[in-house]
Amino acid sequence: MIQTLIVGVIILGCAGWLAVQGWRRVSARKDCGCGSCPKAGK
Amino acid sequence: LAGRVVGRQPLLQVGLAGNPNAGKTSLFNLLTGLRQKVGNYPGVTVERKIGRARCGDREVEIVDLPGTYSLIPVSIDEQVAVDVLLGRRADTPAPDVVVAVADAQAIARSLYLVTQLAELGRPLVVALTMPDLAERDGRPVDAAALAQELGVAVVAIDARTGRGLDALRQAVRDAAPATAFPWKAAAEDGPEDLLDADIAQRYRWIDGVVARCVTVGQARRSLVDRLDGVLLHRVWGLVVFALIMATLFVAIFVVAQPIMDGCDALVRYLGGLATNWLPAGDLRQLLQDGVVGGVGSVIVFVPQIALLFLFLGILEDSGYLARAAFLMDRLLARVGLHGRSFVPLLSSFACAIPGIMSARTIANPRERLATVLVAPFMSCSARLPVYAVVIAACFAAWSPVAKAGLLLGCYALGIGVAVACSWLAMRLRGRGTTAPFLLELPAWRAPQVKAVARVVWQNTSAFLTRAGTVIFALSVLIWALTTYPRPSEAEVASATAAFERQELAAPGSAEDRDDRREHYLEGAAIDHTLAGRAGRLIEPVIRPLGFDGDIGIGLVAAFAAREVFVSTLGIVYRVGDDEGGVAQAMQGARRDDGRPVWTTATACSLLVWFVLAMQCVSTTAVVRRETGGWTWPLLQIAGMNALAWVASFVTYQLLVRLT
Repeated sequence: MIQTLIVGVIILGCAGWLAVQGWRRVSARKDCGCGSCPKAGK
Repeated sequence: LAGRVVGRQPLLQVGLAGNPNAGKTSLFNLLTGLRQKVGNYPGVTVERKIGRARCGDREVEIVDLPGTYSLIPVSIDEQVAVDVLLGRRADTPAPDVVVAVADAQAIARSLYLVTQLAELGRPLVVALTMPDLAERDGRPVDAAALAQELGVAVVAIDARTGRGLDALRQAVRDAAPATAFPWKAAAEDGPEDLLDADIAQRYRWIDGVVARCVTVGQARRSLVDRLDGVLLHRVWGLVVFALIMATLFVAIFVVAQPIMDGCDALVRYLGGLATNWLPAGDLRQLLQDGVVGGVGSVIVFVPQIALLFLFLGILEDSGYLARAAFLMDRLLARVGLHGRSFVPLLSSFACAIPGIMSARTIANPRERLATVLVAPFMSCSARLPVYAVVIAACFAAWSPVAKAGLLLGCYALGIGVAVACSWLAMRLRGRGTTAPFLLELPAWRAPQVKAVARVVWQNTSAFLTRAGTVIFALSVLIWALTTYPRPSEAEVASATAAFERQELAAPGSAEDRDDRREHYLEGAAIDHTLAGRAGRLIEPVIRPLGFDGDIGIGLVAAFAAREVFVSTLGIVYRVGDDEGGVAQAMQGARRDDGRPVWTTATACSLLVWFVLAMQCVSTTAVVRRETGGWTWPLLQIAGMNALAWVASFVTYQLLVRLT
């Protein structure tokens, strides 16, 4: 049961992290000029 | 002099201007030491280097400007240099003193820019770099005579010993604008247009100056000249290029294999250590199948990636890649690309993203767009693990040379299709006005360990970072998708019964039968999961290419990052810490009817798919940013994937009929 709970947290964490990364890349409007900056648009 | 004020003294702004590779950056480093800041000019990917130094009692701020051949820019980086010199950039003050860095080995071309810099009316000093090399070539430049001709200070600098630096600092402090422009007096009437006439006029004067200031020693055709004669030859040059590339790929297979085997054993051993202490359960399964089976399967390819970049680093640092760019310019020009496309395309072998970004140096919008659109056809380092695992699994009996040939074929296919696509685009849309391609051929030299190590480290660490972040997260998600929902006990019982019915007539020992049962039940369990259902959904589309649902799951996952295909197979085939890894699991994979999944036809079809398909979300995001909208990236995805599907289909159907 504890293992399943930990696995659930890890899966949700990874999914959330990937979603945020994806969103930051796709929503980047301005180019900060550094080339591959995920913060582009700030 | 204008400038910011530091203490009581105004801060003197000094701009270092010169041709690319004239030695500006070496001089900048010598003058500023560690007192420098490296960033970008806002809005463009052009490096901005600013540093502080003292010139006598004056504190100066030095800007290392991008290299330019003239004040008529033909690319974004040259535009930045010219804008700074003309005081047109709000983010960088115009220089109070311009230091024109002139390469003594290419003095005529350097003087062309010097004449233009003199006309800016700003205090000017000429720093003559590489005087020792010019002397070695038997063409020493007389700095004092040159100063007389130009009417400004000329200081010879030896970047290795630092000789001449104090004189340069003094000259910067006392710099004055040029007052006479003798090249203007050399005007002649002619039918040329204004720009051509201006260039001719300057060079007429420069030729005279070179004759007076350069002592021509005995010209001798050196070994290096003869070597360049072969390497830059339109036929022999290409033959040598092909041989070098072939050697590179053979070495990747032969040298990397033992290291990879060691890595594989280490990953499996550490994976076993990390998971064995846990009792059976979801977490242990996640660590074993998701993390070790997924991320571990990708990490074992680090030696191959490191070797690829070790060889590329050696080729680059020795000066060979610049010669390859020269060779390629002729070919690129014929297919609607520019000589400057070579570097973006070459960078794309590491990753298409920096490649696409560096296409900004191409002035012609059509050539730039063509470069951006075909760059993803170059096989990036994320594809290497996919090629390597498929070749290792399906062509295990081949010799290392034959395997290397197949790998080289994958790279060549990407290049060939890129060339064909850009040629087609040029025929359909024309190419517009193309800018001239000027390329500095650096001197041959023994590769520097530090520079090569930097290239290897940058690319290997980028790969490892991806393995630890994106690939880790995706492996966890893919494991979840290939594990949940689990089949109920009734469903397991029904699958077991179905197996028994199917097996009644099948021959084989009890052990074989147990293996087959385990495999059958694992397959049934994956079919039940979300990924299994999705795999079945897309199977009709990919079945004509020879792929099954498991490969389909990998193909979908590879849209996030291509190397995830390998980790997905590791997860789907439940490799965990088993010996042999993904390749062995692939050899044992069977379709429902018992036929092997990975035949030669399937393998070739998959290789073709990975060479041609556009699967990388990050690249699409960058193409959107570089082309200013969604039209081109969407067309690129649709076009490349349609082409990949058709090519894989043809490959599979042909090979199935032939084998």
